[in-house]
Amino acid sequence: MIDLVGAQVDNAWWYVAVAYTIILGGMVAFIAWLGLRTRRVRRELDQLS
Amino acid sequence: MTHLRRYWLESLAVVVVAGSVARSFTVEADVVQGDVQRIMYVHVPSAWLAFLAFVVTMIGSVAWLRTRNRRWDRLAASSAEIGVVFTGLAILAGMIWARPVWGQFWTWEPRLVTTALLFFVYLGYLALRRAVIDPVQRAQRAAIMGIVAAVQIPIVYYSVDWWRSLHQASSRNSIDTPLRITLLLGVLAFTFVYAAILRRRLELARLEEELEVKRFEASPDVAGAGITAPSLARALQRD
Repeated sequence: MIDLVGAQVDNAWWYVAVAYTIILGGMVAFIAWLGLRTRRVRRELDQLS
Repeated sequence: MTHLRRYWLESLAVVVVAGSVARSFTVEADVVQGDVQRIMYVHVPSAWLAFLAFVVTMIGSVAWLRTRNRRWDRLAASSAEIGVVFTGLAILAGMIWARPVWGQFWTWEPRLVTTALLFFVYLGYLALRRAVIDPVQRAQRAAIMGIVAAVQIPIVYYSVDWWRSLHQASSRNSIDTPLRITLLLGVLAFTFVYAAILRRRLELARLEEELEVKRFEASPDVAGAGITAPSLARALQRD
């Protein structure tokens, strides 16, 4: 009965778009954050050597 | 060409993820849930990636305790961070799916509660790593926590079978072949993503360790140096 509620969702694609944006966007943001941290550490290492 | 050779794993991950997303948008809709079920094709692979990451953390922790090789500690720490991020993303995507299907974003049922606990315990693991200055003590404490925390993985996985509640049971054997192929493609894509991110994160961990040593060498008289120095020197002997 609970599952039938899902079948009646009119704007299902809106929920799908939000979920995919969260997952794929979160993935890209995490990779970008790693890149920034790596660059910052490399810069500090260059300054210290 | 040089870039492609250097970033082959990342390139492969992007291609497989693109294929997986394209497939998940074009495969036939679930007859019961309709289009909203397509969220499963990213929600389940995210959860899979998180489980994989935490298992690798446990392996790295055990290996560090056995060998005291810093590479294992770096592996455990890097993998835990990835696991925490993807547990968070899986929870968020699950909440978006739950809103139209269950009528609410969150409910205190076993799968959701155990997953939230998993997220916070591994967040605590990352906090523990930041709280301990001595690198050897940090690795030791984190390794113990990395092993103990892994007990939660089967609990979360089997929670839908042990306590029948609102969350649907595992659909690994009950879905049609086209939908199962799409789900497996998503799992494969996220496995590549994990491998690609882990490679980058390990490089960052190695650089951070190098920076830690260089900072100490540059200013050995700071507070705590008396404690840190012997351990750093000891840790540097192994790699």
